[in-house]
Order: sequence, then C-alpha cells, then structure tokens
Amino acid sequence: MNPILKALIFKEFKQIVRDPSTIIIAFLLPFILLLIYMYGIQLDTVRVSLGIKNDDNTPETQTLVKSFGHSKYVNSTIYDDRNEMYEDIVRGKLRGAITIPNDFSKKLSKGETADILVIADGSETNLANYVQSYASAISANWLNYASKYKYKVEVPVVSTDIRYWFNQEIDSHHFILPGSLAVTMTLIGILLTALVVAREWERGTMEAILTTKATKMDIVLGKYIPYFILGMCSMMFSVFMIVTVFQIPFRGSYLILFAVAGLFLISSLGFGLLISTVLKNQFLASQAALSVGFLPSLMLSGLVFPISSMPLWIQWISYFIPASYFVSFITSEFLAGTVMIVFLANSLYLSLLGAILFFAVYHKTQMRLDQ
Amino acid sequence: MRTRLFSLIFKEFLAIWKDPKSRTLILLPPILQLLIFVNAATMEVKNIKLGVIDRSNSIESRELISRFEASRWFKKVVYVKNEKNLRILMNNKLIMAGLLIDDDFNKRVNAKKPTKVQVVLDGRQTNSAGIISSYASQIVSSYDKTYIGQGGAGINIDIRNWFNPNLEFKWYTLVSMITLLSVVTTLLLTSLSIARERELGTFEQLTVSPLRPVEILIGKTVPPLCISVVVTLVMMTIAKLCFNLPFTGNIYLLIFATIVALLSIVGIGLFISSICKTQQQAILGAFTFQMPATLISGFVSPIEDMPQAFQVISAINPLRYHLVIGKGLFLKDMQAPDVIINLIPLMLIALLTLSVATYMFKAKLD
Repeated sequence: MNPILKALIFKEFKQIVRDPSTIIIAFLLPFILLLIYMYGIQLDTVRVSLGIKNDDNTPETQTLVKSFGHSKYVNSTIYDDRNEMYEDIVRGKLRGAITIPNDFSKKLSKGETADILVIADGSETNLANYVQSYASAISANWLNYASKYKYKVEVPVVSTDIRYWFNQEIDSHHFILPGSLAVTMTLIGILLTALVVAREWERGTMEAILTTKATKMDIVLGKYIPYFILGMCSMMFSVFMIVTVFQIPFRGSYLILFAVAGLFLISSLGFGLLISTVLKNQFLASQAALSVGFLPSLMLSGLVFPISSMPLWIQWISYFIPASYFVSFITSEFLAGTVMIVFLANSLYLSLLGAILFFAVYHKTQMRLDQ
Repeated sequence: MRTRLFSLIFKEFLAIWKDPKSRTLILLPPILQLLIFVNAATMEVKNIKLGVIDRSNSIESRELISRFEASRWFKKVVYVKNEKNLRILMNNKLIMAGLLIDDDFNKRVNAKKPTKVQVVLDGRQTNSAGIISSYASQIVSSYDKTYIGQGGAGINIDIRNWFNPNLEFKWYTLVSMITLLSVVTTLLLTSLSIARERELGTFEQLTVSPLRPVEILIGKTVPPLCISVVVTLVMMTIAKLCFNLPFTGNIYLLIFATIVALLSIVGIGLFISSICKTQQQAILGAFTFQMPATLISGFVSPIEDMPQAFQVISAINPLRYHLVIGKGLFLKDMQAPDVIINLIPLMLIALLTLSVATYMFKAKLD
C-alpha cells in the first residue's frame, strides 16, 4: 500500500476516534435500536383492549364473556352503558367494543347463526384487524368447545393445517432483528459517509489534500477503507448482540453472512460518498442521505411492508436500494441457513450496484478547486 | 432591538432559502416521499405465488384450488410433483406458500368425513406468513360452507370500523408519514443551525454582535419553524387532494396544534445543536433521537403493548402526541379539550428544551 493512502486512512481513523458521535452511531445506537426491536415491538401478538356489553344475560353468554376475559390477547372491560363504551372508543381507551345482542342464545339453540356486533377503532387500522380476528377466534372457540351448543355445530369437513417452514415458532423477532440491521447500517453506510467528503470541502481541508501527491484513487480509497472497517466492526457487534444477548437462532454461515454484509456496506458507502462528492455541503448532503438512504431503506426494503404487494413502479425503485437485497439475504441466512440462489443472486446485485457506485464516485471526485 | 431581531430572522431565512439546491432539498423530498411511501405501505399481502401438490386430482380438489386462484391475494399457481420440489421452490423464494391436498380428499369430502389440507408458509417473512395463513383459512372455510354446505349453529361477527369504515391502510399511513416527515425536516433544519455556525467560524461574529442570547435563539427558532409548518401544511393538502384523506376536525385547531407540535421539535433540534461542536455530531445526534423516538411512538407497534420501561419513556416522546393529535383531528373529529390535553406535554418539552438551549448558549457566549 502506498504511503499516501496509508496516511489518509490513518488521518480518517484519527477523526473517527476523536469524535464521540461516530462511536455512538456505530455501537450505542445500534444496541438501543436492537433493544427496542426486541422488547418494544410486537408484530404478531398484539394485546388489545376490548369493551363488552352483554344484552343477552343468560348463563351461557356469561361464559362467553368470561372466555374473552381469559384470553391473553385481550384486556376486557364489561360495560352496562353502551354510550359510555362507545365514548371510550373515541377517547382511544378501547380498540374495540363488543355487543352480544338479546337474541344470541335463542338463535344458537335453534341451530342458526347468531350475530355479535363489533365496533372497532378504524383509525388504528392494523389493530382493527386484530380486533376482528380475536373476536371471531374467541367466539368460535367458545362455540365449538365450551358452550352447550357445541352439539348443534356441524363440524367443518375441510380445515387447514398450517405449517411454517424455517420459523416454526413464527416469532417475528427472528425476522425483524436481523432485518433491521439493513436500516441501522445505512446510518454509517450512507449518512455518516455523506458528511465526510462534504466536510473536507466545507472546511477547506480538501485543498490541503489536493496539494499532496495523492492520486484520485488514493482519495477515494482513503474514504472507502476506514468507513468500511468501521461499518464492519459495527455489523459484527450487532450480529454478536443478536445471537448472544437476544438469543435469535442463526442457522447460516458467518463467513457468508459477513461477505455479503461487506458487499452491502460497499454499495451503501458508494451512495453516501457519491452524495457527499457531488453536493460538497454537509447540510444538503445530510438531507439527501436521508431521502435516498435511511427512509427508503426503512419503508421500501421489505422489512416493514412486503415488496411484492407494492405497485410496480415502486418495486422498480426498490431494486436500486441496497437494503432490499440485504433484508432478503440476511433474514434467509438467519432462519433458513445458506440458500445458494438467495446468496448468489443478492451478492451479484449488490456487487453490481457497488461497482457502479464506486466508478461514479471515482468519476465525480474533483482534483482541482476550480471546476 | 426590534430591527436587530428582524434582521437576524431575515438573515436566517436567507441562509436557508437563497440557495436553490437547499430550497429543492427541503421542499421536494418530503413531498416525493409522501407520494411513494403511502403507495408502498400496505399490510395486505398481494401477488402471492402458490405451489400446489394435488394428489387427489379430482373435481373437488380443483374447485378448492380454483378458489385460491380466484381470490385477490393469490396470483400464480404452480403445480408441483412432490414435497421435495415444493421445498426447493420455497427455499429459493419462488413461491411464498404451498398447498398440499391428500389423495383421499375427494372421497372424504363426498362422505363428509373431516379432512385436512396442509398449507405451508415461508416463515422467513414472518409477518407476511401470518397474514397469508389467515387468507388461506378464510378461503378453506368458505369452501366448506358454500361448496360442501356445512352449517348449523355458528357465530357471525358483524363488524363496523369507526373513523375508517373500509380500513383504508393509506389513511393511517398518510397521517403517520406526514408526522414523521415533518419531524425529520424540522430536526434537520434546526439541529445543524448553531453547529454549522460554530464549525464554519461565523459563530464568533454572532457573539460580537449586540444581539442577546435569547434574541439569537429566537432568530434560530422562527425561520425553521415557519418553513416546516408550511411544508407540513403542503403535505396535508396533498393528502387531502390526492388521497382523499378525510379531515374531520377544526382547521384552525390543526394549524395551532401543528405549530406547537413542531415548536417542540425545534426545541429538541436547537438543544442538540447547542451541545454539539460540529455538524456531524449534530446530525448524528438528531438521529440518535429520531430513530428510537419513531419506533416507540406507536407508529410501528402500539404503546400499551410495550413493557413498562418503554411506556414511561414514551411519555416524554413528542412523536407520540403528534400521532394522537394527527389521527384525532383527521379521522376522529377530536375536540379542543382533548387536543389541548395532548398539546400540554409538547408545550412543556418545547419550554424545557428551548430554555436549556438558551442556557447552553449563554454559557458558550460568556
């Protein structure tokens, strides 16, 4: 390695070590975020508060009300006044209100279908879906197994037997913790690096570098290498935390995991450095990094919303986001082990994207002040 | 003093506004992102590719498969010979779900003997898998009722969704995204402001000017606040016009609430800026606040479902109150007293952060 490149890398490292904010962003923030993803976010089993008003006061319906009380997914409150219950929905105290109408047991004893009236708070759209599915699951369970009407029910002929491959416990943390690394890594990969070249131009230190014998390649590599190393350290730290502290099963190969993580990091760094090289201003660069980096990685990578359900033009945008390849790869590597096609396809895309961005950064790097 | 303050505010406006690049980068991304993200955010899983092993190969089984095919969630049905091939397809992410029908399916159906069809799902996409399983159960149970004609006693859930009758997920995303994007813009405008002056050395010029610390801080507060309030109102107008987001509340109340809500973010931004030496520290500091705050705001997962410690922290999270007010005014016709109850914590946050920022400022000046 030539001495100028070595010196540039050394200089960059000193800047990284001297600024506590880099350490915070590389290690402390990822840890806090993992903690939140692990304990603060429940995507599959959400508890909801329901109000219940029983207009059909028979011993049988009382056991139904009790079934709601016993469910661990429901916080139930019994109301006598319908208006009071409905007002609590407006206030946001309840997510749903259940009314058992007065002809409920009469209809069931005749072998007919009885209604339960459910009002859900649609402003919490996702929770409203849970309200509906909990109400129907709990009442169906009661009818088929606990009520005296169970003999009036014709047993369904065809039923579904559902199996989950790769994640039998169907625990969303096994997906979201590894997947979230794609978003966390954009902080170093795109946001931090978006600042570093712009900083040199803003402070005028770029002039000092240009007066040395450093070649264009030295300057570009002098930025890529230190942040690549910082990013990989942060990545290893996060993976270590996920596997040991949070006990998420890892079924793949660490070698392949970090190889693809490296490719992902290179293409992210390319994005960040390209922004920085073109804009030469930290304020603009951070705004741009947010717009093409962090927010799309969160929303369009497939971590929160499935890409295949998005409109086609948005699916096309997601192909240009490195995080969408990485989410697809890392969740599969964690849960299913190494799957050759998933590994190769995603690495190929990431390498291609990384190479294009590298050449763009190289091409846009200016060796003169007046251009 | 008046003119002094005005010229500082004017200068701050110019600093943000005179550069065409800066103008576009403040206005355009939030609007574009709103348009893209709202279209991207859906909890429905569509275009599902299904692999089928039909060992029964009968009218009955084909009827069931065609019901999967005809539903709006499943797009492509691939017939597979055996379980091994099904596993290969799923491993390689070519299908998201598999349906297995046994060879005695038609006999059992005709004899009305209980039978099971197996549905296998890709657990790597945990969220989608859960949703697809409920689609599959729905299709099978409707097959059971309408094709085979099983009935008897049953319970029908008659559901009405208030405030969002068709459960348009877009409405929920719109309100949340407007909040999120306006907070991002505000934080960016404010967190860098003092740190930039310090990094570029223009801070000294401010210190030798006759401006008092409070005046400097007002000068740093007003322009970003005005810009972000305007950006937010523009996003709200787009939501109303392009996405038919209903607005049920009072418009003046909304404007007032937006100003107070964003003032609390300006306070946090200036507080971060006042303790940072460089722009890099400021922007990374802003993120150290923004990312956790977004995750525990109730946007991703309900607050009442979090462990006690997170619930306590979220009580001082301004984004939480933003979301309650936003959803309240747009969808739930929230009344003034309820809005004000949620605005009080925001006012306190603004008051606290702005006074600390002024204090830090004074300390640095002396």
